[in-house]
Formats: sequence, structure tokens, C-alpha cells
Amino acid sequence: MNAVGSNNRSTLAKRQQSVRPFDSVRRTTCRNCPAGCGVKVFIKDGGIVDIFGDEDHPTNKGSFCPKGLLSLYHLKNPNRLAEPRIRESLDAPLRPVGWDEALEFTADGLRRMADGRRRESLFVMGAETAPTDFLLGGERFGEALGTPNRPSRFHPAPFHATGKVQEMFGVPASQLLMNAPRDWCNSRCIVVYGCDLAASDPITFGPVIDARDRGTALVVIDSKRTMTAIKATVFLQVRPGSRATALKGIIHLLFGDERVDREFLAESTEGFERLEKDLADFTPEHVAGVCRLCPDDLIRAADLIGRNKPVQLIAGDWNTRRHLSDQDLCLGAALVCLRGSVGIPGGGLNLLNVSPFADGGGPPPHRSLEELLLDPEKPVGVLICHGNPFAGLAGGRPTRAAFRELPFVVHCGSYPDATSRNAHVSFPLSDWPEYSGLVAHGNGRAIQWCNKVVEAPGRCRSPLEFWTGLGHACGAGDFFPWLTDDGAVDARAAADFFLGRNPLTGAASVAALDPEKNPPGGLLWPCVDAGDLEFEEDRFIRGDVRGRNILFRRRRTYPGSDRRFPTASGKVRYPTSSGGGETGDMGAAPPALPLMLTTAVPVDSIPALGQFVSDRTRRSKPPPVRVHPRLAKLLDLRGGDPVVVENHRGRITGALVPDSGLDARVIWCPDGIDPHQPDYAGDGPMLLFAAAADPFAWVSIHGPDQDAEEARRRLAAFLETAGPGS
Amino acid sequence: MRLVFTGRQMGSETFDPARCDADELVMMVDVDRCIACGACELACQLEHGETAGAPGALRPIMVGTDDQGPTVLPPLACRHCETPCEYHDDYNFWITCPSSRDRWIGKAYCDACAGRLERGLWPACATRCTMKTIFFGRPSDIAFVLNEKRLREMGDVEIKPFDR
Repeated sequence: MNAVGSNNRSTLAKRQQSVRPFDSVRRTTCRNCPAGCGVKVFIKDGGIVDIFGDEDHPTNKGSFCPKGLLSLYHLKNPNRLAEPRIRESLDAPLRPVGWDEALEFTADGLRRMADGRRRESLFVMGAETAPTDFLLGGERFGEALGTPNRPSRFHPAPFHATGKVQEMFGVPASQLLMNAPRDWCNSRCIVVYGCDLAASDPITFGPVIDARDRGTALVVIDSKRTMTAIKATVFLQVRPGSRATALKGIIHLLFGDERVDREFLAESTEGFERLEKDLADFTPEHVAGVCRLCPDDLIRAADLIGRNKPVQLIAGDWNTRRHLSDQDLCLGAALVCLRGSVGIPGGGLNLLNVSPFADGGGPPPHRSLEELLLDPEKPVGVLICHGNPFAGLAGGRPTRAAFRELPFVVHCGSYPDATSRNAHVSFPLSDWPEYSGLVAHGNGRAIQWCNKVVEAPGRCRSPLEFWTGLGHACGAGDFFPWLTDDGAVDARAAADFFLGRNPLTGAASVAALDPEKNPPGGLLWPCVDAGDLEFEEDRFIRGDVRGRNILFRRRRTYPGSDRRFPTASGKVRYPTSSGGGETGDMGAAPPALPLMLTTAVPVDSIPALGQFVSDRTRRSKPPPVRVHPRLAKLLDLRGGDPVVVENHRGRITGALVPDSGLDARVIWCPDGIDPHQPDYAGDGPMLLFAAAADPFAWVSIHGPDQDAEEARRRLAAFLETAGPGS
Repeated sequence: MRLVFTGRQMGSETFDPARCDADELVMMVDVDRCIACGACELACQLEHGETAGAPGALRPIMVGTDDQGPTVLPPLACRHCETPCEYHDDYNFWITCPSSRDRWIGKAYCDACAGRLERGLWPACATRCTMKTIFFGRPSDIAFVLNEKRLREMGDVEIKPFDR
């Protein structure tokens, strides 16, 4: 028996230190999710032998989440793509070729499109969580080839400069994280709106839990009892799609109890009187009926928000931001304004996954890729994409069939997936420790630098090398002027180029960002003058990242503006119409589809890589379908039994997992599933959704050997008797 | 090694350092902070060279915070074998693993990362925990941290709504 108890060492330290032999330790920044944690990588003979969080980094302070740890296995995963592959038609298999040939092949494909069609038939697409360099290079490439259809046009519309938040504050929602996480411990009440931070951004959840440990009230509004929700002081479990109604109910109560900061409203806002009138009917009873809440819970939540100040609201993490509407964002902003919590420590509308580069400044976003695919005009000629959009396509078989008919698809990524299955070219991209570059999207309003610490496998190249190579192959080399004399991409020169031309990052440079030469954590943006390169220190805040921690402070002007709020009037203006009907107001259930299918990512799902890197099991398994135990019993199904979830758009199969954290009328299946991944053998739930922005899909469920009609009859009868909160 | 769970809903007794040897090692898990992310499980696999997916390099136990909803996954230095031990009696207990048999791939039982302990470092699971949930040290260190936690919590006063 190991004599653990008789260890004689006198001190034991929590140090992020490896005990394996290593040559060097490098500091870099993780790119797996928008938290942007500092990493210490232990290297031996050019390979990574161990990985830890960086204790000195202010975001994670040494902690590391499963996504970061899984990087170690991911980087050495034999399934990774190592060379470019091409094919003339989808009937043939992809064949490996060199980079020059693949780039030339792609340039030819682009030329063929340009011959017959307009420039706008080129679509460059990447999720907001795609590597910054991919998005920057993609925007640049679109600019070079004269198409407006660049990555920013695929990001959710409410976050764009044409969204209502821009109208309110003069700043688009893609840039509106008012108070940096360093400040969150000053909140007395934190509202987490529709996010499961514990699953999608656990390190970002750290400051929230720290605050809660100190007595800050936590109000969580969501439709599933998630790990975030069980940490709440008050959890409002709302019917999927009815979050905004819950907010309206809370704001109605705040007005009613006169818990609004009239002084702030008079001094700095206009149009909020209309809001009070508009919400006159949203009494607790009405709201409880719509949201399937108990009125008392709503009153408790409003009470916590009304009695505690400052209040902040967190929303818009990378997984749930597509479900947010203009109305969600405006109401969230209104809540914070009404509580006088703008521009003060502990306050703020803190939208996550912000980036100074998100807004291309171009035309408003497309509604969705699905709509483009189903457009009879067939606007998409060439699609260059990252992040496996095929697997996440809503709209069932028609959109997938339309995707397969696209004339030319270019896939960029790390693994073979459903998109590469339907692509004509596939380029293998390096992963985060394998190339240097900017890390701009984040939950901390910081821009950081990620150092290359190991060589990529095979013939992987960085996103910027891909775009620069493609730009030169298309004869647009002038747009990519950052090659060294021997033809390599100078990542630092490129980054300085992009930083310099963006007014929000004018004072930043790679020299000021490198975590091995500067305090880790990067710089908070907007950083427009030399003062923004210092640690903020006054009686309100002692910043641990250089830059401005709190936006819209009194007696300060917004960077690049001469007023506190950079709107026409200088005040926060509540929009006359905040986007019409509620997203997710999807009417009553269709007769044969009584259940709501919801989805989210599990904790080890990495935005662009899905579940590939998990590899926690060796065999393919059906995805879990979480179902309330009462519902399972109704259908004579037990945990582990196979189930079929279907509607008129298609069907998916999974294994039943009982979960009493769901409302009995709601079922759940994880997102980020691809039938070509080694972990799961099946389609993901998005197949059954009408649109990716929808909070749920109407479905029916039954065992594979059961009669579907009989199952529906039982469900319908049961649901008629189910009341709120059952 | 002694394993202690703490948390508002755990109902565990006050941890009494006088009940332990001063030299004993204690791993404390703050269930209030645990989010069941599984980083501890992965940290163990990484530290002991297993590939991801090896069954139970470290087996987290499922601790339900109430009868609804998801359970948390604090780490447990146990192999869940059939040999009886004092584990299930109380939340403060010994891990006296009477078995050193090789039941799992390559590993016998938890030794609190003896290789790390020798260098004065915490075990891998405690070092890498995402939410800084796991604390490791001597009984006096643990008592200090628990006291701090209670002091912080004294700010958490439940507000009751007005009657309507």
C-alpha cells in the first residue's frame, strides 16, 4: 500500500509545472474558445510533452479546461488532415496533392465562376469562433476579389452595425462587452441570459462563480437545468423561445416597484418612457403563463435584480448567440440601464465573443446559409468555408441537397468531416500552437498574441498562409503584402497591418502583445492612444490587463468620439421598434409534433473541431437524447434504449438519457455532431431545425420498434395534462 | 489521503483538523464550484500517460446536489472495486485502499501523483481543475481555506420578496 500519508515534504505548492523531462517552456494563448486563456507548453525535442494553464495570465490564472487539455490529444490525433486534396466532382474521391497545385486548382475554380457569373457569387464563410487570422484573411480575400459576401455577413444580424444595439449605444453588439471580467467581482447581481457558461466557456464562468462565492446574487434564465443553472440563486426555467418575455416581466416589475434609476434615465437616455408603457401588460401572471414559470420565481428574480446594484447581464456566448434577437439584446441593455449600471464598476451589458474585427463595415448580414442555399436564383457559386457548416445546416434534406449541388466548395479545417465530404478542395490548416497570430474574438474584450510553439504535422499551413497563397494564385497579391524575401508569410507584419488599419486597435501592435515579452493578457480594446497601453489604476478599478476595463464611464468620452455615448444625441436611445416579434415565437405545436427539441454544446466540444478531439470512447456511439424520466416512462423506454427523434425535415437516432433537469415537454441532444466523426454515428439535431437561429424544433419521439402514431397519441394525451413547471 | 467534500448542500460536518495527523494529506473538493467538466479526469489521464478514453484512469463520483438536475463530478481517488473500505460511510473518510491489484489499464490506484508530490507539487487533478475547486494540503491548510470560504459566504444573505 502506498504510504501516501507519510509523505514528509513540508510544503506542497499548486504550481502549473510538469514533472516530465522538457527542454523549454513556452507561453502562448489558447484559441480553442473565446475565453482566450494563457497556456504554458512544455516542449522536448520539438514536441509538446505537457500542457498547463499559465498562472500569470489574468483570464485563467493557471486553470485550464477540458478543451485545452484535449488539445494535447488533438494535436497528435492520427485522423488529422495533413495534406491538401482535390477532386473535379463529388463522385470521385479526394486525392492528395501539393499546396501549389491545390491553390492553382482553387484559383481555376474561382476563375470559372467569375467567367460565367458575377463576382458576388463568391462566398467566404467562417463562424465567429474561427481563428482570427482565418476571418481577417477571408475578409481581405473577399475585398481583393470584389465580393461583399465575406465572413462578417454570416454572423448574427443583431450583432452587426445594422442591429438595434448600434442604434441604442452607437456601438455594435459585436463590440459591446462593457465591463471586463476583472471587474465582475464588483457586481452585486449577475444575470446570465440563455448561456450555459459552465459548458461552453468554463473559464469565463470563473469570475461569475467567484462573485457568487462572495455573496453576489446569480440569476440564470434558460430552458434547461444546466450546470450553470444549478449555481444560480434564482433559476428561471423558461419555455424554449420565451426568454425575452421573462425579461419583459422583470422590467415590468422594476418599473412597478420604482426600482429604476430615474437620474441616469433623465441624464443619459431617451425613449425609455415608451418601454414602460409597452410593458404595461407583462404582469407576473401573464409572463408566467407564457414562459411556464411560477410567478413567485419571477418576482424573486426581479426582487434580486431590483434590490442589488450594480447589476450586469451576460449573454451571447459562441454557442447561443445565434438565438439572440434584436429584442433580446435591447431588453438586456434596458435592464442594465434601468438599474443605473452602465459605466460603473460591477455593471454592464456584457456580451461575449466580442471582436474589434467582427464587423466588416459592409452590408448587413445574410439571414442564413440555408436561405442562400434554397434561393432559386442560386446565388452561391463558390463557397470557401471553415468550421464544418454542413453538419450544422438546418432545414433538413433540402438544404443538404442544395449544398451538394454547389458548383465549387473549398473546405478548410483540421479533420475530414461532413463538409469535406461535399467539397471539391480540402486544405489542412494548422492548429493554435502551430502558428503565430492574433487572437481577437474573446470574452474579455482583449486582443492577444498566440506564439507558435511546435511545428504542424504533415503539410498543414496557417490560415494566413492559406489566404495569402490563394490571393497570390488569383493574381491579387497586392492585397497581401506581408511576404518576406524568401516568400514566407510574415505573421507579425500581417497582424500589425490589420491592427493598424482598425480604429479600435490603432495603438496596439504585436510588439505590445507578445505574452513572452509583455504582461500576459494582451490589451483591452478599444485602444486608440498611448494611455490605453497602461494598466488602469484608480479608485474604481485595478486592472490586470492593460487598457480600459469599463466603457461609458461618466465624464469620459468613448474612444474615437467626443461624447460618453457615441450616438447622434449623445444619449442611449431605446429603439422605436426593437425588432418586432420574439425570436422563437413559433406558435402552437403542430398536431403530430408535440415536443420541443433543444440543443447546445457539451463541455468538451471545441467550436471549430466539434467532438473529434474528445475521443473519450473508442467506438462510435449514438448521440445522447436527454428526456425527462416521466416522458421516458410514458413511452416505455429506459436509459440507454435507442430512440428516434423526427419531424417532416428528417429523423435522427440516439440513445435515451433520463434527465429530470428538463421540462417534460422539452428534449435535448448535443450540437456539434457529425456522422463522420469517430465518436458519434449519426446526424446532429440541427437537421430537424427550420433555421439555425431557432431556439428549438418541433419534433416527435419514439423507440425504433414502436409504432410512431401510437407514441404520438400517448405524448399528445400526456402533454394536455402537463401544467407549467412539470 | 483523506478526501473532504464541502458545499452548501452537502450537509457535511465541520472539518476538524484535530481528528487528523498534522502530516496527513487531505484533498478538499468544493462542490459549490464544481461544474462537472471532467478536467480532473482528463488531467489524470494526461499525467499518467493514458490516451484519452481509457476507462477510469480516475473515476469521478457523481454527487447530486439535489434530487433534480445534473450531478457534479468531483474527483475521487478510488478505483471503485468491490473491496470494502470506509469510503461510503461519511463525507469525511479515509481512502484506505486495501487493494493494490492492477484492475485497470496500467494503473493500480490513486497515489495522489506520487511523482508530483516528491517535487512538492499538487496532484494533477487538483492542479488543473478548471474552477479551482480542489484544494490539497495538510489539515491545517484545509481548515484555513474552509474558514475563508465560510467567511466569504457570510455575505450571501437570502433576500425574501415582499408579499404580493
